[in-house]
Amino acid sequence: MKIMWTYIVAGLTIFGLMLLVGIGLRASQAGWLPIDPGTFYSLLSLHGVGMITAMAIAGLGLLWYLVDRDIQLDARLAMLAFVFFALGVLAVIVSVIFGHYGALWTMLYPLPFVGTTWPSWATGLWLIGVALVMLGFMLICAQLLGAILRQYGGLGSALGIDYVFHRKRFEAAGKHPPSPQILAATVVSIDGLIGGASGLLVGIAMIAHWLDPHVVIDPLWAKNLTYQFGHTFANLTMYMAVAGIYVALPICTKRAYHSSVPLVVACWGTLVFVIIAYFHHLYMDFVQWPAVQYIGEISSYLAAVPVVVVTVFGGLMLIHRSGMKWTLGSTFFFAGMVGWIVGGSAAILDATIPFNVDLHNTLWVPAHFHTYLLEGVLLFILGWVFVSLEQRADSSSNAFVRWIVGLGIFGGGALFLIPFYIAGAAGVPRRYATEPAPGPFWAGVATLGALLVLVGVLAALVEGIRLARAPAVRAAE
Amino acid sequence: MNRRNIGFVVIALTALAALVPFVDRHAELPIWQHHLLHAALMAGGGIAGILVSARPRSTSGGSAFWLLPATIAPLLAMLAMWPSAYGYFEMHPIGHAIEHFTLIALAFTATASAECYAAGLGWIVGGAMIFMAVAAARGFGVTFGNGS
Amino acid sequence: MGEGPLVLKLFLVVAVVAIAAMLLVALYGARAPLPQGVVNDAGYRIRKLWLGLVLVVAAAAFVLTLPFFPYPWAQASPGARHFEVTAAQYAFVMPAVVPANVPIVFDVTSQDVNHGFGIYAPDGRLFAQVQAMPDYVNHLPIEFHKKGHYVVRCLEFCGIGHAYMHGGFDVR
Repeated sequence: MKIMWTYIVAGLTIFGLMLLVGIGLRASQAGWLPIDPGTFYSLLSLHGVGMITAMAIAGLGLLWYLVDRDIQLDARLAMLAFVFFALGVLAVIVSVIFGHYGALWTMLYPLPFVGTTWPSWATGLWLIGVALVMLGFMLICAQLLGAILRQYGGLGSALGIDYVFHRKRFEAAGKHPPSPQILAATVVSIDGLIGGASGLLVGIAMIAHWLDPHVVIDPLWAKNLTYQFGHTFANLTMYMAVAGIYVALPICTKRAYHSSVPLVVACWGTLVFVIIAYFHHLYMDFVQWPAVQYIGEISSYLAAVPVVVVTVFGGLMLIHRSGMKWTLGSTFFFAGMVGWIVGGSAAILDATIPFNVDLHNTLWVPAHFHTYLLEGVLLFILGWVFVSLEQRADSSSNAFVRWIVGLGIFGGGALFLIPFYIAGAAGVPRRYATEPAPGPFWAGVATLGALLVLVGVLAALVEGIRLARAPAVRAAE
Repeated sequence: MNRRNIGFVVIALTALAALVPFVDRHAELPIWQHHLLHAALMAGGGIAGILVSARPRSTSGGSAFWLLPATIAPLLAMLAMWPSAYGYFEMHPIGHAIEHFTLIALAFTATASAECYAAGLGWIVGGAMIFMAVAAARGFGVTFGNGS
Repeated sequence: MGEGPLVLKLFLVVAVVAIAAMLLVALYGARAPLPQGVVNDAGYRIRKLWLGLVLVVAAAAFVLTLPFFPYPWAQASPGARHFEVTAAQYAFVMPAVVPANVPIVFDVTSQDVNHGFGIYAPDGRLFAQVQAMPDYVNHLPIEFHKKGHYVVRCLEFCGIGHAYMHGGFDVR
């Protein structure tokens, strides 16, 4: 419980700060706020790394709590990992605020070392900060996976292999497959360790180059590892938060959700496709080995199958004709599934190679991942927070509050996101401090949308505090 | 021969292989081949770590703090594969052998401590570590280009 | 290929249908709850068909897109004229004029960091792109059918001057 709230509160606090930074960036692109390009890219670097770290920290807190009932975790390790996260975030902030680092989270080699306008120490501190965040993430992954292996006596049973292939014998022995949240934790921890290994390898290579410029790095290699890590890490924030669906929706709908053969098989699919879908980030690198371009498109498509056929479909089956009360918590979960599907559809279109030619590195890319993170991952985390608070106080928000939060986060969210899509489809590049037309007009519309999102988030914060201060009627589920 | 003794044999053979620089002096290997040979030494150290510390599969295990060396040792091993130092090591067999022993020790530490926390975790941590060491051959300290 | 607006329309259709379908499933008959078993029996039957449909659409999309892959090995251009493009912070060195209606190949590389070589057609649509990388040369096969001035913009973040890194060439 303490771990969960520490992580979620820290994650949501960083989210709030980065939301303000993001509004400033969009306003600057609209021409409403004078920000020079150097500061713009420093703030964009901070916004990108900050947001994904925020989602990961909050998501890990949620996942930790949900699996803590099934497996034995050591809270001290979570606090140690938290120290790594905090030090990493601190290093990143110092690097950006005092060092004016501005090569973004991707920092594709040799970008942070060539033609820079900031001191070398800022690059080094940034690299070390990101490495510390990765290290904290890998510690948690190792802890989750280790505890799962202990509990289930091996990877095979943790992944439900005997359950799927020898189901009769398995059930006759009175055994149960791992719970859905354990399956999510297994996927997150294995893919997290693989993604983290890629990220730390390229991170160490960059640190080595920073200390000793004689250490050359292959740019194509660095790009592959950077995106393998980046895509996996960003994608896994969703699978951390997804665990919330499996636990919270049954509470909201008063129905049961158990592991089934389709769910287990879906997890295997996710386990594999999350690692190899990243090839779609290198579609426009024509020197990349041809086979992986095809693998990139196929695995991007297949990564969606478990989501649309199992997770979201199952979530809708829980809600359908259940008589569920539409509180803030349950609404967030439902809206999160909608956002996941919409953002995912945009991702699928972008992962289609002939379309990628028109969309690669345009605003379409931030369009889809802002949908996925803001109207997906964030909503699952907020959903969990509110379901917990509503359960604890046995009370829910009135219609007025629900409308304000809904209009802000969903209505404002749509107004914020649609401009990204329109400008992206018109070919406006991403990461431009000054955008060509029609970028600035749509940046203005998006800024208004983002301000509405801020209103919705603040309303949710006030409502959350009100619920948290209400007397506890029963212990949270 | 039990698992633990096999582990000791593996570590002895790996240590013997680490002494090759004394026999094959001044061998000038391309960096990528050198990385791959180091990956092989680390595989030996890693497998030995698993075999030596293996315990029966059960829900019992050591402290979660075993995960700290299990996570950090692979990183230190990557730092020990500093490519621009390879030229120096090829001229100095003693330093080279020390580097090899460091890599083996770090690989051993990584898998053994992972295995101390949970049976089976050593294979996963070891796999990620060898993936890093092998992947390093494609671009850490070398650049290939497509030459056209 | 300049299909950005088509993709946007496709996306809007998919998004509206998905949102409507999900709202319908969630809200339909919300006042008259059914036991979970009844919903599950129907749901599992629908899910089998749904899985089949999703897989068929995915397979069809993959097969249908294959002929349009932009890569040198997928777009045969033997005997095409090659034009060198070199990117560097923050400008492109490239030919001022390229011929229309014949297959050509851009050999794209970079002198410093990663850049993107993004070609915008005279109507403003993003028409083709490839990454410009140090140490590597990317070959972009292409054929221009419309004459006019094509703008080139950098499509990979390359530093403080990224947004101002553009150029152009004429197709005659």
